[in-house]
Amino acid sequence: MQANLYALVAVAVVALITAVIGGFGIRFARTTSDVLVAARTVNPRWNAAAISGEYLSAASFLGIAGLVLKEGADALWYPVGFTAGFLALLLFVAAPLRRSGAYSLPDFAELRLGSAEVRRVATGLVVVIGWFYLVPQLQAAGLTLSVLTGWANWIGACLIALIVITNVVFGGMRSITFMQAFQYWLKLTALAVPVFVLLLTQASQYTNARATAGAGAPPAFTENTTVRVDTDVVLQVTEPTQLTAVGGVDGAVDVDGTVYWGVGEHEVSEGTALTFPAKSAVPVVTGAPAHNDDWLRPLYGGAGDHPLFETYSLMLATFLGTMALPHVLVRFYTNSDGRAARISTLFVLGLLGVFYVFPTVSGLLARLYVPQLLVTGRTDAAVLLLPGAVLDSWPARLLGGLVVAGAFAAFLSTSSGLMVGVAGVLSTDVLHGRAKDFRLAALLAGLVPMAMAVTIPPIDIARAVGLAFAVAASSFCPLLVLGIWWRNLTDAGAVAGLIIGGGVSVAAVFGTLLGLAPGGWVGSVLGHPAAITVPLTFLTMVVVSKVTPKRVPSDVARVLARLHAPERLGLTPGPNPNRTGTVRRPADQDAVNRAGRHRR
Amino acid sequence: MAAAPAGSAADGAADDAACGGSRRRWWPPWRRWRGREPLSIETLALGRRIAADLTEGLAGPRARSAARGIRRVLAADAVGLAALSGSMVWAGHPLPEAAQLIEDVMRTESVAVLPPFIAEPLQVNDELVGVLVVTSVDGTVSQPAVREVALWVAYALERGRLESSADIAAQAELRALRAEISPHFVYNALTVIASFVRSDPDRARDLMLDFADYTRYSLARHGDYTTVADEFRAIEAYLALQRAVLGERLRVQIRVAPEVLAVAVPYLVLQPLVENAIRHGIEPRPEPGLVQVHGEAVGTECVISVEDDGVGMDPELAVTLLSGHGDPNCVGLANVDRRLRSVYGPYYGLMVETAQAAGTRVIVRVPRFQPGVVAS
Amino acid sequence: MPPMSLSPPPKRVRVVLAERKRARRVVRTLAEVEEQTDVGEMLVRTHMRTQLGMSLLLALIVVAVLGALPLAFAYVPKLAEISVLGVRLPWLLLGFAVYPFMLGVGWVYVRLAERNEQSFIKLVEE
Repeated sequence: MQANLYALVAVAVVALITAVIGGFGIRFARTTSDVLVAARTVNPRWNAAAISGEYLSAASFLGIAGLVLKEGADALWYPVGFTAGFLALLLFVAAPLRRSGAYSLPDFAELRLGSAEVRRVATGLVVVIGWFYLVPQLQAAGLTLSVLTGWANWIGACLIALIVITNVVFGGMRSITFMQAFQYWLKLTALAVPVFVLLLTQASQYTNARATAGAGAPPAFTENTTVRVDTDVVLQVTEPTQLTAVGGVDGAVDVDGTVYWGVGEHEVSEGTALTFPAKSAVPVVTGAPAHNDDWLRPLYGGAGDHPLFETYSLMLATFLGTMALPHVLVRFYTNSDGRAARISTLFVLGLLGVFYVFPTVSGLLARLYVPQLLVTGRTDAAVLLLPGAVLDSWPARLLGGLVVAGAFAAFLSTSSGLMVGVAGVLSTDVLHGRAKDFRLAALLAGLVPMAMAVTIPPIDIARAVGLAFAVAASSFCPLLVLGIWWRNLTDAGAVAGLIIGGGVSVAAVFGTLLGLAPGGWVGSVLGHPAAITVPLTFLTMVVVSKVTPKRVPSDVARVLARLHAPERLGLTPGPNPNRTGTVRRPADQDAVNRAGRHRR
Repeated sequence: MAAAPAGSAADGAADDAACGGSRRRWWPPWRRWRGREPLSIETLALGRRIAADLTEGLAGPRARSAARGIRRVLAADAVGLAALSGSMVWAGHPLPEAAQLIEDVMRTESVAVLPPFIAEPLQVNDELVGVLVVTSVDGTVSQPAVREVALWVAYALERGRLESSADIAAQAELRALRAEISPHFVYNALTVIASFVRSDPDRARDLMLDFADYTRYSLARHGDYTTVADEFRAIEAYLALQRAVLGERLRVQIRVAPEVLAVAVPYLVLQPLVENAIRHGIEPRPEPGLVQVHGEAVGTECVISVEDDGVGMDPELAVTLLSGHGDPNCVGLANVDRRLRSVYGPYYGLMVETAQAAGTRVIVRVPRFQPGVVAS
Repeated sequence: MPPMSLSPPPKRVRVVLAERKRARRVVRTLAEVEEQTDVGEMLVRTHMRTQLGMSLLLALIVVAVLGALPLAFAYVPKLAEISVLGVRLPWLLLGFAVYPFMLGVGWVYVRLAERNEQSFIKLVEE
């Protein structure tokens, strides 16, 4: 790829900024001779940007566009779900959770139910969810690096894992609000600017493009394109195609030269290079819609056999899973009170809404300009290749570098947030928190997903992340919702629900990740377990709690009052809340003194 | 656990039943006297559990499980524990005829036997606190056995009372430790305010309001915990006053990461540290000094450090200060250390980094979440 | 700063209290002396019910609107072919229109929740 130099520079810059800010802590203060007071409370807007910045992982940055390219309208449920999850969080969880004072999910379990067993099970699930979420990030990093440099996928995965582990271990696990906020704006810019530029430059070809995309035609190559196939694939060919192939095609092992393909399915083995002439139809990997007509239609895109069930299952997983993700909840702690938590979540909704427009449009553009990814089926690189495919020379390289920087920001920020979350939970609960153990915990938190990322065959990033959401939705969402709103939840019910619901969903995810999913109903359920496991967990928790009424914690009334009563209650008059701190410069000292700090 | 008097077969049988059916041979009798057979550890464990259940009193939440344990020990049909307040818990099938018996015992404060009931008074420190009623339809439970159990219950209740009064005493001590304002500082602050009254009345007014804030925060009776943000606000008032007193000799730099502003900490953990830094680090020297306060989140903890570049101190002196054996005027550090450790556990005490002429740095480490710690 | 002596300032020594007396955790039993009266508990229950009702209502609206879409697209295939402003309807709805919708619902919730809380505070403070 020609964008090498710019891209590598961009990556280096992003990594450097991350390391500097992460490693040295905040440097917002200047040494003056005056009292310099940092912000009293975090502006909800800043925190919202930080939450969004950490939340937008490789799945949002690369995965959605890739999935849109492959599956069309069905993939749109992913960004909708990722955003709607925050709406569910706002409606049911935001303010009460902040008021509880809990920092992480096991903390909430402990304070609400007063039981060490619940805490232990919750810790285990947090670790598992964190690892499930980390694996696609690392695989995406591997993909990006291999697109950039041609190295094998596992190199990139290991490299990013090691960078993040090092950052977390030596940076002392500082999760800096301002840095994550900066990441959001970086990611937004990295995706929005190329989209705008591409749209503007291609505006003249708009009607042409529309025609191609709209008609029943399959996607077509705009120019002679060579595609290397990395794994065995089966392609659907919709028009008779003439192409050049070097490698193994349709069972013949040593093909070198022109091949004629009729309509139907054709096998291509690993390591083959296929060259297609311009304007020929793109053969699409089986399971994805081959015609643009189907691609534009919802419910035709998915690889499963029961699209309605899968769509609803996905909706359930993403709507209910966000509130249960380990790296989302810990950011809520930074809000100053329940009201600020709500306002912060509202801003997150807005920020995410603005962001998610761009991967969608990128996916659309990719269908037109980068259709060769459909041949290999690994469409997650769509956003990375788009600028190079549409523009040439330095604008392509510049935009390409920008996109790569955004992608790296995505992996690094989310991975470090997740790793910090998992390591924190491990060190407090498993390794019995002493300072050294943070490092050991961080090592463990990072090496296991690294091993998983290298050994598990990659699937679409967005889908893999959707699986993590399904586990979260099946385990912690019922715990949070029932814990916050239902008086009679007992620790026995919570443990039963977490183990059963969490266990079943984790098993389903493992089944899918290891490729054990057959077709039919079983495959659909394994790939999208939420529609079954979420109600299962709710039911289990309710039933078991009702059966063990004596185990309702004795301080339930007090805890619930604390969760729901608005903050102004019960406060004895403290320092005057109207006082605001100001940064004072030496020259203004007298003026400030005269004006007085006490504006009442 | 009192052993049944030797030689009584019925007691031996009761012992067997109490030991959960473990086979304790009573024949030949000299084997028992030689002490070869160990007494049942299960009985001991059961006794310990009963005592633990009774720590919160006869009307506590676990009184019923204590009654169940007693029932098992005696192998009775039913066991009831009545408290003076009138609350009554039963293990087994309660018989209403026992109520009259209980009243009699409460009145007479002596044992009453009315088959199938045996009712013993429970006396702690010669004071009646309740009644133990044992129902045994077939008369297998003897009155001496019930008496032993009643003594055991009284012993457990007494211990529970001692624990709770120790708790109360510790709480009171901590509360008392909180409200410490240095008279030296008050004197200096008021003097400085007085000096501004004529020359710069606005500044005097500001300083007086700062002083009011400072004293209110330090002395007001409120809940036990506050937020880091509020602590920093209080430090600010204090520092404004100190800057007025010390003028150019004091430079302050405060850097707080926003993530820790919402963490709940006990009241007045930071202010004594800042006071210490200024009093021992800055004031003794004529040259200007810098006090830095940093707060940031590290993993699941909040770390706040107060550093000064003043005279420092001998590390040995720091040890004595922390353990509270030092200068009675400088109890701030020991106070904060004890409060932190009593709330968060032994690993969350203060850390002091110092050496002669190298300045001092005091580090407070606090977990972001601790059950029970909620800022009011 | 004092003039630098010839030797660099001595390194600091870290001191932590050696005797780690395991002080008892007095926190749980006596720390929070909040009195929960019956009236207070009733008020909190009512408040919770109101808030929950509101949240459920809004959630139901969102679920109904969003949940109806797959069904609509499955059983009314014509919908998928309508084009508005050159963009197919499903893409317009799912890719663009749904975000302002969710933001609007969120905004409504925040307003309603805060109003609820204000009235709760007034109720309690009188």
